[in-house]
Amino acid sequence: MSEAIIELKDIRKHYGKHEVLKGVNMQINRGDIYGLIGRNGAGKTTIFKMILGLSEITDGTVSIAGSQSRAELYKNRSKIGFLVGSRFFNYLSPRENLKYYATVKGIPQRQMKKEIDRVLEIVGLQNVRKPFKTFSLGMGQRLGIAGAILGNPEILILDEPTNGLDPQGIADVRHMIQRFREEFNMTVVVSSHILGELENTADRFGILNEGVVVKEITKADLAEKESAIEITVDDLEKARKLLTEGGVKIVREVEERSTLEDYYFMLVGGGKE
Amino acid sequence: MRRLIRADLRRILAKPGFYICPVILLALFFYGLFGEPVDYDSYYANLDLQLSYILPFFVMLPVFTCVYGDELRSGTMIPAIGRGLSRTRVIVAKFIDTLLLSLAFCLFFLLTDMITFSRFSVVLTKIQAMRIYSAYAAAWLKIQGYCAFAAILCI
Repeated sequence: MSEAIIELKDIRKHYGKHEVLKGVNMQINRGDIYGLIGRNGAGKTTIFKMILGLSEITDGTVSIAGSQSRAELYKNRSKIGFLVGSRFFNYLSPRENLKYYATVKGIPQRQMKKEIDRVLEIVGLQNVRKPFKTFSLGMGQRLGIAGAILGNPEILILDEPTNGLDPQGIADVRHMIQRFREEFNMTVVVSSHILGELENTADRFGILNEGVVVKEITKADLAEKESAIEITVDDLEKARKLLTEGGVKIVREVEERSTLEDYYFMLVGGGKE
Repeated sequence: MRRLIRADLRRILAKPGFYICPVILLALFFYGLFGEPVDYDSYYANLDLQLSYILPFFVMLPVFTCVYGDELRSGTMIPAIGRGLSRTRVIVAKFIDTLLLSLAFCLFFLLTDMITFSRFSVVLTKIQAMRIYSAYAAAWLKIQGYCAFAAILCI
């Protein structure tokens, strides 16, 4: 099993009297594409903010790349690229915005242009010159992803990267995420409430409900869950008898396997219409 | 923190709105340059008005809107904090930005005054010059108080 690159142990978070996280335990291994699933308000963004140091932890520990001390944790946070909302200067073009973040990240001046060209090409914004305030939501998300992968971070955190995107945009983001792992060896943590899409993207999932991660599951585990078979036959009574004896004429057979969405609703309650 | 200061100053200088106040000041300066002659006594009598009201307005408006206003609007401090800088260091970096920008503005003001004196052949004694420099230094420090207050609000 791969080493753990991010570990959360018994993380708790209170906002006044309201307890948002009630003891979250999570482990993200090097090389994972980890999908964090939960309802709106479940605490997905709060977990990311704690990993990134944007929000104080009430109790528990966060470990990034084996960091033990506070100083090491600060240092290791520089290994993380993240998208938590698209935050750019309205009056600057994509290149100028990325130049700002590249300078903050400490990318040397002589490598900066090449690196900015690289990330803009990955997200498909290499020919866009207009200022950020004219961007659509999808373009803003793409630029956010470009900013997140600047400097080729070891770990990439993407908070709902497909928010507001059309189906093509969603597919593009999925391909990008897979490319980030395969080509650039990034460990990717992505949150979404589009379960079908997350199932296509990630290979490990953490299901967040009522302030705790109720289950961590892999794609392989999901495939082993019980499945139902739907068979269309010309004689239902005969089929029932012959299912045990064999030899029935099957007109149509549809195999339904348990999807991530089915399993999620089974675990946390609620469901589709 | 140095990288953040450098990146911030670069993006502020790329902002078109930042130059509105300097352009107005330049226009006023050239207007004064070809207007009524100036002597030290009339200049010093108006210096308090200039440094207490006009200078802070023309300095604070672009400095505050460009350093803090953009951040409040677009939340761009968050990526800096998430990259391993503490919140305090980010706020201190922003405060240093305001120190440097307001210093540049004050020096610009002072330079225009010296050019005006030169234009109207006003020769300052050492004491007169020191009084003017001290008045500008005090005005600059007062502006830092406003900026520190803004930084505390951001924290």
